[in-house]
Amino acid sequence: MQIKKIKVTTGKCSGCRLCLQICAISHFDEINPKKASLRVEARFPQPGLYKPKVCIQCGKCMEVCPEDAIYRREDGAYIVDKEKCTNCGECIPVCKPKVIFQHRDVDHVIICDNCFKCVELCNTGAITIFTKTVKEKV
Amino acid sequence: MGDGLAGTTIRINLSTGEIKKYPTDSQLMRDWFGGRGAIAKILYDEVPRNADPFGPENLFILTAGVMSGCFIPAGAKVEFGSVSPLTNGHGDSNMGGHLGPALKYAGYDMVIFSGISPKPVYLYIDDDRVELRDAAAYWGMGSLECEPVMKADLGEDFEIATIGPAGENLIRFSCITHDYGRQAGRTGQGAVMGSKKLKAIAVRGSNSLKVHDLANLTKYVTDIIKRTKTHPNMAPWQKYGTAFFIDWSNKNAVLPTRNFQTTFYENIDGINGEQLVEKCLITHKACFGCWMNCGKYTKAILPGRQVVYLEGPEYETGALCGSNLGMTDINQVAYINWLMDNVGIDTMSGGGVVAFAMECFQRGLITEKDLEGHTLNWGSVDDTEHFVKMVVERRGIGDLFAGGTKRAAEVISQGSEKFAMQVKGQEMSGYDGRYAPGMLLAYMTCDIGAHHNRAWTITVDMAEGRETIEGRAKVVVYLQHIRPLFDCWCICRLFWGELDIEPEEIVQSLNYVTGWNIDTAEALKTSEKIWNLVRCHYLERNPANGRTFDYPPARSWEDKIPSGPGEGKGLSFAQIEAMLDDYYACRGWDKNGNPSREVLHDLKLDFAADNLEKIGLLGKPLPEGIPEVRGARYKPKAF
Repeated sequence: MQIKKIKVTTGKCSGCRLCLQICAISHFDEINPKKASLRVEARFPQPGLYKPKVCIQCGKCMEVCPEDAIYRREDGAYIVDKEKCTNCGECIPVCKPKVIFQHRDVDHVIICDNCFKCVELCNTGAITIFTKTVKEKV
Repeated sequence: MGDGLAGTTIRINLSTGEIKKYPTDSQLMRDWFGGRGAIAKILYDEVPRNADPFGPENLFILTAGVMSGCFIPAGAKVEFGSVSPLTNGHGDSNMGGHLGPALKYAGYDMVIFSGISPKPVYLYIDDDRVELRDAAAYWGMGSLECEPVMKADLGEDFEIATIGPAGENLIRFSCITHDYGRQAGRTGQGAVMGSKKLKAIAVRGSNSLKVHDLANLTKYVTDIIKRTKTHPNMAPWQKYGTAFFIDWSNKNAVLPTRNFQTTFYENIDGINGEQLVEKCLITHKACFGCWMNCGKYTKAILPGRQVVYLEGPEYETGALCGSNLGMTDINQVAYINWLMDNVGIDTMSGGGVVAFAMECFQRGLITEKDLEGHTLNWGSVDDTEHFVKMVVERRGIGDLFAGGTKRAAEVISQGSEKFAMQVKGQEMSGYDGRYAPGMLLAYMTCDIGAHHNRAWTITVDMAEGRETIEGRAKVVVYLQHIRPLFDCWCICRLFWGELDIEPEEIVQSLNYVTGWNIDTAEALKTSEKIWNLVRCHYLERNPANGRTFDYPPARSWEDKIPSGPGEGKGLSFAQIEAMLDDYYACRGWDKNGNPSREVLHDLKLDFAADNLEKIGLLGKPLPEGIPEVRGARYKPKAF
């Protein structure tokens, strides 16, 4: 079984946040980086580093969801069932890279669905796709 | 369906603390293209002609225009404007980074400050919350030092712009700094903030922006980004940023060296882009939404000094604080870059002022006695640092230079005016125009004082012949119309010039954002309207024939280039006069450099014509009428 993930190469990101913009446009038809399901952490003035924070597909969100509103798709992505999600936010603190978000205009949590639109626009190679073979069926 | 605007404008009276929100005047945005254009109209309409740039009647405006934050390539600018304390005319300056988009996401297109706060304050914007907050804890801090402290206090996701001690002390070429090294450097906008006791602006926003046609905009922009990833200019641009061009300028005899005494720098190998990347680079750094990442985040390591972190030096700083100060090592240039950023002076005017003072020292016009016992030698970081502190703290002779080179030369006199490398009070950018006549004309006629951003012609000069002036005026006029459009729309200009993106493509993306459905010809004509209004504003504030303000310093014609590939080259005064004549004719202005009623009427600026007429500065009708198209589209021959 093969799954696809976003690979972050530390040191390559230049902090442009095109990834955030295209993410929100793709999922909400809106220009609003606060509705993206990834972030870029900027560590300035020292050491001077941008670090993309993306879903690592650990599945912790699915494990803690009290409504069973998160399921894993065959490609490995964890998908929020927008009908079932009550926006309780219990998944947020367990997310290690801190990439689950709530927004006042949205009635469900915002989680990456592996569309890879962000990767398509990245011009520095900071985020790329890598394919991983896993034994178990997802 | 939207128009790219956030919808709300804020007016703040700093004297009373009153904050008012209004619906953004979308007609003003449409008629004047937002950004620089809207600023020009508001300043023209609202600032009394006799208002002191440092007084309560001057306005200080910031705006993110119509395209900033709207998923436009390099759509990240924020434009600042006020009557300039450096030039005493309309002043504007912009910077990239993330502040402009944040302002839009918070829900605001423009903030207009008037008055003077009784105590230091900063503007705090967190979506609907707009407050003036006490800035006593930050007042006195360096720009680069203040930003992380404010982020720690407010939150990492606030975008912050600050001034340094220079702005607080009303140094007339003070800048505004954001994102650890992005500056709105020109025309002294930081000094106006200082005069208003406005230390900083902090913004966080979480709203969505609505554009006219998001589906087509997304497809269009995505295609441009993907298409240009393999453009031959992309790789060097990403690697070096604008520092790439320092070598190029040196080879092509335009690199200002030791206060524009020559155009060839023998120590170029110590300060060029290769050295920057090899010795100083920490990470590439992009503005919001830009895939070119021209910003270079660096550190400067000099023996006996603390390691300092900065963004740059980019080209202008590399030239004006590098070769122009006789620095021999990129770490020296980077350190001076940090020094000026942190105290909060424009590295372009700052480099120009230090270079001018160094030449005064070289010629004995100022001495160690004037400099508290210090020297001011070419290539000395110690001397530069000491002198910059004298200026910023207005100590002794430093006070003289706090007004820029023009004011300093007027006092020093003894022939120093000849090498005060400025026009209208603003110091020249990092290109010497003696062997690039179009470039010199661009400085002479730039509406905010000498600055390359309005027209940059060196490749045109090379294509058309560097020793002739024919045809240069119309190219300068064309460039003065197209390039400022980016400052109106609050997007970066560099991808247009570097990646061969046609103006029509940019106008198309503007239409997807705004729904204005305009063409390039209309865009250029509106830009011409803005240009003429700014000229009228300048003449109304400085009532004399425009031509009297358009001359460069005498070095531009008295001194031939003494060394390097441009050795022996230079312009005559007659050529400079002829270029002005050509330029005014191309613009529909009279020989005195005053706009004629015919051209102002054609641009729907009859109100400005009336005002010029009242003070006797309306241009005389041109014998052959005004040109139908001013600044026709230029297609380079060889580049």
